[in-house]
Amino acid sequence: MADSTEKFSFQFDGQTVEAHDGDTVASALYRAGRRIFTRSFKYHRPRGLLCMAGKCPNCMMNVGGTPNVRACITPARAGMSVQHQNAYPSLDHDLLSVAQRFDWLMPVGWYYKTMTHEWSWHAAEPYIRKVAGLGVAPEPGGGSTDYEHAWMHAEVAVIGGGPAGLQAALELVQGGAQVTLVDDQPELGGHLRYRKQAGKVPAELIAQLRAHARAEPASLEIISRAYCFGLYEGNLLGVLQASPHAGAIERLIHLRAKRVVVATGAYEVPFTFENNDLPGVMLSTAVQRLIHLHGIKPGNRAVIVASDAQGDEVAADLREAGVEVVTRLAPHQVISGVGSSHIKAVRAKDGEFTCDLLVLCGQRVPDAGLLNQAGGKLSWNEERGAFLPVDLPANVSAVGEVTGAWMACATPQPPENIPYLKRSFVCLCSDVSTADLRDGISEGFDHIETLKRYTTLTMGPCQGRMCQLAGIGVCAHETGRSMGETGVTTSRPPNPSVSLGALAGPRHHPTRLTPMHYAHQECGAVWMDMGEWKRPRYYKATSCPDERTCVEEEYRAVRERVGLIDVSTLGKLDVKGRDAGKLLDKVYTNRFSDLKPGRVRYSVLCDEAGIMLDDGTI
Amino acid sequence: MSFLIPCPHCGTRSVYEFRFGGEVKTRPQPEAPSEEWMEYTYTKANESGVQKEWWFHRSGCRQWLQAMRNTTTNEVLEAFFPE
Repeated sequence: MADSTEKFSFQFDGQTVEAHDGDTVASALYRAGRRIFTRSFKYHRPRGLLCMAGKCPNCMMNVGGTPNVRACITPARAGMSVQHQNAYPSLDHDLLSVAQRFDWLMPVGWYYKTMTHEWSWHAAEPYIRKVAGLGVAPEPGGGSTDYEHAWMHAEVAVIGGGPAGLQAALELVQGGAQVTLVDDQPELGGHLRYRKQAGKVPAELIAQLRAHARAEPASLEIISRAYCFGLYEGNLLGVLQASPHAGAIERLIHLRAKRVVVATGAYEVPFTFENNDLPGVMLSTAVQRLIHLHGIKPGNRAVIVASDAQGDEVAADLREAGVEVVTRLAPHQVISGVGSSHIKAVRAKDGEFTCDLLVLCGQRVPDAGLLNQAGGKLSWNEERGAFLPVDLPANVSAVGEVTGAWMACATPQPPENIPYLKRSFVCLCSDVSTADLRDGISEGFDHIETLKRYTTLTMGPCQGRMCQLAGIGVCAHETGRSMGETGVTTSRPPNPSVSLGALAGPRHHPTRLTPMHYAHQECGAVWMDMGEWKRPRYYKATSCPDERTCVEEEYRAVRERVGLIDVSTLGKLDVKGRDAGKLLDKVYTNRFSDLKPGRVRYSVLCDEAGIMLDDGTI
Repeated sequence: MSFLIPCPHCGTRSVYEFRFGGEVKTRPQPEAPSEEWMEYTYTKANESGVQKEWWFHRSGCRQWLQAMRNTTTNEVLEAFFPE
């Protein structure tokens, strides 16, 4: 739980927000009373916290100049500056939300239907870019530069610091393996940190691991606040660590492992019903995170939608936090959410229930993206209600909930009855509703892969985490196929997304100056970059007003009088020996063995197939 | 592309350190008929499976080596210096 004694503040849209030690940007804002965190991509609908785990697109903000940062997993820091994005003038009063009144003008595949002329996209693009989309990229040269790269090697990499990952890591180090444990949370323990009814954080196990890491630092390394975004060929893992130290905001770790143990667990996904995207509609694990990790009372009156024991668990947590639990509904009973900027009530088959929090105990989905990237298949399991990883390659294994163990089907899949409504959202990233999917399928895009490309389902910042299962459900329902026959779309890295700054790494480009550099400068050189070298692009003189005239003047000088070129920036090879001339005859297109000392000849260098490799003077 | 190549001099290294040099083929004699040279220069076996290739360890020992690589899985079975 966040320690309420240590407090600090940061800026959000120019207002001071108080944060507690251990807060993320989103938890501090929620405590301060903020409920709308983003405006949706297309319709500018208000969106609030949904997953609190960095899996959904609902809390992306501009943090310190970096756009599209997930506020729910970004640690709050004193003095940081946070801004909203994609809303004008503010999140609470967004004039652009008028867009949702015109949703009938934006059918599925809107671009393909309206942009039928070459010029139409060019004419429309500037306006679309202004009113739709995500954050704004910083100006060139702007934005943060505090990124760094690191290269690491491990015998075994364990991804996930929950109970399964911890157990695996301990058994491996006890067996003598050299282990690197990667966990995306600030503390180890996984879901046990916030699911108090499910069990206690294995403190003893963690203590044993920490003791091992201290005693034999070479055999165990624990990397916290770091998520693994990709598993590439040769078991190369892309790991992004937030705030590795005060001087860096992100560190990209290239982790190479002989074996990989994936213990990424499972995440919850929402149900589809009308207005299922209203702020105040929250996943049960998000509610538990707010209560147990941040000490926040998430609302006053809660309605729980559940079909399994998770409903009892979250009800107990809510009551303990002082929240009144109005009722509990089964998923099929829910008709719609009521409210415009926040949930006010839930309309169900047996009445309307006033509430300010709608807790969804959604279907749990194995976080199996890495296993899929490693070459494993995802196979539908009716009993578990999930696509489970099978046929894993030799050096990759899975432990814990990611395998589907202890998982149960929350609702029958595909659903028996899907309300097709323009306000029943499947994809929160780009506002794709059940009605849009049905329309796409009826237009012939009835394969899950073509449906994905036509509707942009699973293609947004959440990379399908929130929408894939529901999308497959709609596709299966409409086409009369089973979930297994419909299948899943391929998982590709990076997932979740990685900032471009982190990929680019630190900005330290060496600069090389030729011996004549300052002589060029005196002649008015305008510089260009040639690899690491600075080379004059042209010389600016008082006699020529622009680049074109300067270049023309230089051209005339070379043709009519004399020119001088500094070739220090070009590569030089020294060929010595009796047969030097013969060798050059073979690699150049003209003869060099007859070149007299002191003479220069220009030629072209080709490979065996006659492909030009380079040119130069000899 | 991030597979590994076991360099016989430097040990197992990332493919980023190497430059690909094409399939290993036998160069015809200079006086060989042009069909033979044509075949050598422009025709590639482009094996779907294990093939013998040239690799140059550009960022390592800077030696040319040969490797047996499965072109469908990018698994490098062995690497050695040419005889």
